[in-house]
Amino acid sequence: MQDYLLLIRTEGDVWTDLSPQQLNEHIAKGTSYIGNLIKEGKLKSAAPLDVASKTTTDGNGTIKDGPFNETKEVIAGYFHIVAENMDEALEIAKANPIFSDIPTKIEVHQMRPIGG
Amino acid sequence: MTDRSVPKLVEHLFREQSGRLISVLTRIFGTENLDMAEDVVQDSLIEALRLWSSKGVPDNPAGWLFRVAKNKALNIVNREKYKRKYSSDIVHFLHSEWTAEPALNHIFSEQEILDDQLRMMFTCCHPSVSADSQVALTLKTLCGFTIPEIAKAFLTTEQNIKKRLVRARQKIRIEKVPFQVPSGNQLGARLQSVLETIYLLFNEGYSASKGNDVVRYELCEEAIRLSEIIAGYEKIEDKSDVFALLALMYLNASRFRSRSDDSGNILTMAEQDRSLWDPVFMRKGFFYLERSIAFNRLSMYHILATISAYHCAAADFASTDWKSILSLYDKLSEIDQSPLILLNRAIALSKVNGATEALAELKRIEQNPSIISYHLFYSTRAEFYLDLNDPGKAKESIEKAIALCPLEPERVLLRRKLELCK
Amino acid sequence: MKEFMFLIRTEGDHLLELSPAEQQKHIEQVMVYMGDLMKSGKLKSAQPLEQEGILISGTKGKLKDGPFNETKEVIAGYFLLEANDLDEAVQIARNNPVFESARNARIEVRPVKVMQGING
Repeated sequence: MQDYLLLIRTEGDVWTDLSPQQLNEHIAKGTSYIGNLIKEGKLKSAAPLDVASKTTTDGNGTIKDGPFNETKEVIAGYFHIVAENMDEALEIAKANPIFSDIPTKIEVHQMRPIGG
Repeated sequence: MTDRSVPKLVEHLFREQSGRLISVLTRIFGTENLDMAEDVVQDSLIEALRLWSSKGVPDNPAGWLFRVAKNKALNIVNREKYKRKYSSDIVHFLHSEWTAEPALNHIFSEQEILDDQLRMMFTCCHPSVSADSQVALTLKTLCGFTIPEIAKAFLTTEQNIKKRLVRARQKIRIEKVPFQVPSGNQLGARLQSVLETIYLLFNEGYSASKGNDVVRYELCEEAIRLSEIIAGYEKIEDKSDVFALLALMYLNASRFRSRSDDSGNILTMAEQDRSLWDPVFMRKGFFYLERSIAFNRLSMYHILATISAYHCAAADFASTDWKSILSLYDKLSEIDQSPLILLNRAIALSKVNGATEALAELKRIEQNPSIISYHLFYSTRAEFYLDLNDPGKAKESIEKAIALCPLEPERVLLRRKLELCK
Repeated sequence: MKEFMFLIRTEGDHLLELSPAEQQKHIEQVMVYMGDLMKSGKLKSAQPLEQEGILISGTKGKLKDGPFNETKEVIAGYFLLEANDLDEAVQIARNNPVFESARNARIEVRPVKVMQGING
């Protein structure tokens, strides 16, 4: 088993674009998707991230804080999962119901094992 | 539903649901916070009592109770002042908006609730907890017994039970007992101590003379319910003892209601009305006995269950198969030399070979110093003298038994026997 | 206390560009930094990520896999930690030794949406 980090990339605060009914339906789908991952022991943690954020940068020696909005795309949340291999991780990521409701990209990273 | 019936309903719900709820909540909070789980259940019930008394009872009271307890748990683990570290592997899911609800749905599913009760049994019966505390804790956390009820069941003070519970929870905290069913070769040994506790629980309820009848019967029912959960657990490969214990409990409990008359007097097995024996329990007992034998291993539970089965199978007292019962007691006395077993063997011996031989056997048993202060020894001896038409000696023995007997209902039975000696 | 996620953004695997001595120094700095965070009880988890990864995009039924580094910048790792507020979180991020060893590193500091208690 390997650890993977799935970063959910969306454009802006997408949840506000959904109607209350769409949002409810989306939450129901998400609840069963996440529930299954928990049942199978594949989910370590998952959480949405707030849109308000700051980026600390190293611009040639100077560190500055800036709002993170130079592109429309934001990372809306993350999943930390365990999977047999990258294929399974991709499969899990693709099953995320977010794809059917919201323009999304999911970045699938393998975590570097300790000592690696 | 009237206001007056609400407390009754809540009491019933508490008995039925609190073990399930405390187990699930302990899964969330971790075994180190067992008291927290108990508090949440207590609070939820108080809330139910208050709200239902004024606004009426909801359609699904148990569902309501679970929902309230669920929300309380969610609030506690997310509230700032309680933001401590929990040992449970699942609590972190409750901190995230994405995972909180799915995790709660999962944790509160029927299967998980069953598994959690199993985990709770193994937690309560952890070897670091003393035997009498194990039983008290099992009754408190899994069976919804209140402290006064446990005290009544054990004929001891509430203070004493409180102390046992505090010590047990402390041990579990200090030893960091995990909330899980042990696996591998640990499972067998740990299962034995769980079964011992359950058997003790059953006997507390079944022993003919202690305390209130309703509470006693519920003890027996709880012991059976917990064993049924174990019997349904897939990961235990060798369930021969589990099935044998279930057989024993069902067969014995089938006679529960016939063991006293309408005015509460204890009836001997010869006096009992066999038509009152519960046929459903008997069927279940035979069913489990058959399953237990399939494992080809013989434990104390098997032998006791088989003896009980012979009694159940007899149409009346006279047609009891004492020969088979005697040979079973022979086997049992190879495993366990406790006074009660030796006495029961002597009774079987008297039925097969006559009272003279049985009396000789009692002479031999008398060498055991622990038995001479045991009232049943003398009441048994009296029976043998009566069989031999020696009412004088029988009377002497019964008087000794009455002097030693600690419990009034049994003394009543003995005084009744004294009448036969005239 | 609030929870924050730091996404460490670097251009490629910056450690590869370092000399052995610089690498050693970086590792020591990381140890001190992590050690302090752990001692204060603020760190929940932290993990470097492999450079290679896959970006899934599209909509349901028409999903495609591709590399995610259209830009040179990659997410090299993440931290999950607790801080009193965004300011404290930013302060912690500023002290991250990645700024000493990598050119043009950026750390995205994101508050994690945490559960509020619910009523009833």
